[in-house]
Amino acid sequence: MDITRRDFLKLSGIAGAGLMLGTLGCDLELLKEHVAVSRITWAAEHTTICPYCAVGCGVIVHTDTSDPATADVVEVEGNPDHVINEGALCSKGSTLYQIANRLPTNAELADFSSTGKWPTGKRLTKILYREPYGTKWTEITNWDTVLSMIADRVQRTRDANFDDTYMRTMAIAAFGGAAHDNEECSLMRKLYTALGMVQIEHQARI
Amino acid sequence: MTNHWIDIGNSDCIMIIGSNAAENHPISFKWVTKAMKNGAKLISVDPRFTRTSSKADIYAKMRSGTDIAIIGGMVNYVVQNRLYNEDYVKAYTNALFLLKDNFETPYDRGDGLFSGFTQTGGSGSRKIGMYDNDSWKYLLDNDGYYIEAERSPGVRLTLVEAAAGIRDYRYPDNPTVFEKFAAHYSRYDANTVCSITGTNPDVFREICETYCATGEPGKAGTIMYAMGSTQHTYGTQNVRSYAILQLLLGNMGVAGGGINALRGESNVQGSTDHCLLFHILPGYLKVPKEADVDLATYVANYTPAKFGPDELNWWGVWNGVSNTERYIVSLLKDYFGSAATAANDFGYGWLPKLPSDQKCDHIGIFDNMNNGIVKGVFCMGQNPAVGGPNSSFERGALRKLDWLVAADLWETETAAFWQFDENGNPLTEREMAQIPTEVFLLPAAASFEKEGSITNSGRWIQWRYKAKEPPGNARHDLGIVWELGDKIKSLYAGTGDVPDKLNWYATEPTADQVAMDVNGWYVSGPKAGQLVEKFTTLAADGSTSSANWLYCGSFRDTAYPDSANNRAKDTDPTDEPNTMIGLYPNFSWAWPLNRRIIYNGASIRPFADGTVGNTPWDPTHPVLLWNGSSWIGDVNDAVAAPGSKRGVFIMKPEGHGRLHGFGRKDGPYPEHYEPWECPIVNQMSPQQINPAIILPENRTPGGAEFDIIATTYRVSEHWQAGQMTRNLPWLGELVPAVLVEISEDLATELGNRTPIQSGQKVKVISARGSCIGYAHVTNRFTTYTIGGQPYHHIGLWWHWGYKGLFTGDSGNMLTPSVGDANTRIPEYKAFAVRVETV
Repeated sequence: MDITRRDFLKLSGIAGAGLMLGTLGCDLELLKEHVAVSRITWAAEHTTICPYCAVGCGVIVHTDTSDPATADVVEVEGNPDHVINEGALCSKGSTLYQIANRLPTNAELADFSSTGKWPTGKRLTKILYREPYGTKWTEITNWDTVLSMIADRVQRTRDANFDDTYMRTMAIAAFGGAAHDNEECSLMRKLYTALGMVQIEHQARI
Repeated sequence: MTNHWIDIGNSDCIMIIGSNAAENHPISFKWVTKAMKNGAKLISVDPRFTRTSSKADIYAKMRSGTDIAIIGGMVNYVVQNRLYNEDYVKAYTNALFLLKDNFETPYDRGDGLFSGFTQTGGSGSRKIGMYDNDSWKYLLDNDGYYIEAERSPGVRLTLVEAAAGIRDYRYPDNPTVFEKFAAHYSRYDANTVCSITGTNPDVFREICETYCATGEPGKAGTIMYAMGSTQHTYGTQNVRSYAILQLLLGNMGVAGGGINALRGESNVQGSTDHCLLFHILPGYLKVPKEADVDLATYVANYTPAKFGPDELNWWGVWNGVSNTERYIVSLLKDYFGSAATAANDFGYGWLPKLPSDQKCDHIGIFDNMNNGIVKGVFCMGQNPAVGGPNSSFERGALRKLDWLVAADLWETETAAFWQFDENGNPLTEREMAQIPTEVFLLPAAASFEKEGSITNSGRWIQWRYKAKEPPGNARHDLGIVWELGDKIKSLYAGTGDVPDKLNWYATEPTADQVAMDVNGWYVSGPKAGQLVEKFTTLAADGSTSSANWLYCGSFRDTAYPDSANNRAKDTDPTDEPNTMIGLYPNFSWAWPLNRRIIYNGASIRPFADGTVGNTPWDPTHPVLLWNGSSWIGDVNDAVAAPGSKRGVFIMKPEGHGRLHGFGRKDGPYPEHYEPWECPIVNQMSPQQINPAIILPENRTPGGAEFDIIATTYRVSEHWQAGQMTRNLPWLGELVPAVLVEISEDLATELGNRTPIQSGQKVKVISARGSCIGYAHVTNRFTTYTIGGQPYHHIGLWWHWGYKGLFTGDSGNMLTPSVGDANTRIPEYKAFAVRVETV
């Protein structure tokens, strides 16, 4: 039975032991059985591309269930079938697991509700709002509300500062972002242009 | 990148300059290492001995900001020693084109300027002004075509003759490009260069010999660069220097060659293609200016006339219609849908026009913000409070806003600016209560919590699948932007104002739906409802739409639009049909048209008369092969059949690579100037700084007390403004704090009797602010001898800020907000400081 490149890399974590066992006359089939019950065996695999630099390394994100609605990320590894990185990842790419799992605890969220301070170093899971002259964040609970508020600010600022000759507003600007998907960038460019914005910039400029 | 990551493995010599790829693009080194195993040499040119340098065959030390001098020295070495690929240069570049008789270079003038300069500001050695580039342009014949120099009828000059000043027999008053070029670069002799750069002359000679050996036909050298090259007031000319060297050596278009920008963010290539930038619209179309009053004017102004009868001139007229017009009209059809008609210029008039001062770049926006002009800002996935130049100033400018909408995975420094002062110290509640800005912070989805494509540095568009739902109320940006647009459109419904005309989705689109719109559609005619196959089928009559012509062809089976046909999803690793150089054409999709190596026509050896040949320079690494009737291998770059006179650099109106260019604001050739803020006097000419930059508003460079040269850089464990790494314990533990790297000499000088030690706190001070970090005393920086005088050079990281799990001062509190003459990219990489112990 052939060992594929991916199988081989799955084995690599116990490669040292394998070598030693091999010299003791151990059957490689046993090692393969060990791999067969390793923790990612029952996980769902999703391929993605690393979000850090632009080498474009392939990554496999393992979740505990294939249903995205309830899935948790349990493991992240370089994709051995990807022709650029061939399974390798750098220190940053290997850390995607923590991006998925750096979530606020219930206690931290309760604390936020009383203090208006978002827990340090934790992913944002709520829509935060700071009113003018405010001293803390408050939560806006739904997207409809916050996007209606923003649309209102956009309209008021644009219409009060619109140059009809050149169809532009100098009162609204946008930054970001080089980490967005192409499709997101495309829609952003389209919306900003339709609003008459000319001050549109992102990381490529800096 | 003109080439791509895997192709680096085909190289014979790799020069990494303005980049520390081993640290910041670690996996790129898989392919650098592969090339080295095959015998390639690696050269590292850097102010500091980096991880890349540690793997290199040769390390050349170079003071930050002196790329033009060191590469200029290499160009001069090539010319003096005739190491260029003569057939390549004559066939594929403008070396033998005739110039106007009033064109002058700093060689002719002695003042560091080119002809056409008008001073508008500054004084003495710091003149500032603008160029009229008329004298830089080609001498054209009565048809408007370039003229190639001939010694006698039908016999072209040799490069040696041209460099020696021998001229065309018909035009004795007109120099060739190569005459002016060689004279200009003759000033970059090894002694002058090394005195400017601080490079050891023996090492300089060694890198010249090693790299310039790739000028031999069939050899390939590649240049890998990053922000160390671009973040200067002459960053564009730094990169032009590399391109010029590559053209001379015949390294463009070949496997293992090219000039390869190492992009630092996963989709900075794609976000640039879709033009989240003030000066361009998707597909690198120009944003209209005030004078571009209607579509016809716009098309006329941006459809270049071709400079040769056989040239393709891709932005120009092709098959009777301007390609520029096809692309802008197809974009307008995407933007405004059925509201865009021939009768109303397809809605061209609804596009905003750039103000005449074009103060819409990053630096300009923050000045506008500080001046109260900008009142509302979207900041999605960017953190200028850490990443912007002179970041304390930018933090202060944010306070002038009425509203700020931020979207991110984390509470960034930018979103939390109202909690801190400009230097990152916490504000009291009383102080916060004086800041008027209303702030919305929207929780976004991580890359694996949504679906969509990103484009890597090698222009490969790759699909990312969704592994899980975003946590809590977090949402993917596609949905956020769509719903915001939907709400804005509703507010304007029935007004006839532009947002009312916007062609927007009735319900939230999938990423595939948007990807199809980016690819483009036939909207009328016999193929209505089908996706366009490629950009050559886009029309200027409104019968096609495309949100980005460069991405046309990213779907297969276009008659049957289906998300499964999105070629960004392709992962077939078979390297067919070209199995020799690792093109992997069935793995992802690359723009344009799945071409993996741009300008690949230049990989073909021209016939003796300069026409298109039929064999590759390097038969062991062929990009293209002629099978008797067509080109096979990579997707050919509109390469004509053998025997054609068409140039291979098809995007240029003259079809030839530009040793001599006239499109830049600061000169047709790179000329060495010093950084805007620098303790060193320019040894090359009396002009101290790039004379074509825009001086920053109300800011002057630091004085004589700032006598240490400083630069910024990154580490493998942290990324950009830090929000994606300083919040992760694993990475924070690896690199928990800001280090300031200083030489042993400087450590001795700073110490009181005993040298300061690594781990001791130091304060770095510039004219803009100060930054505290831990000293990291190494011999990777050493004292520079410049013009006979010793100078210290330090470097520091900039990933840090006041928010997150690991905090510290951003090095950008020191950097100046002065931009490159062409791109206005800030000069982060060379500025002046002093250092104190704390």
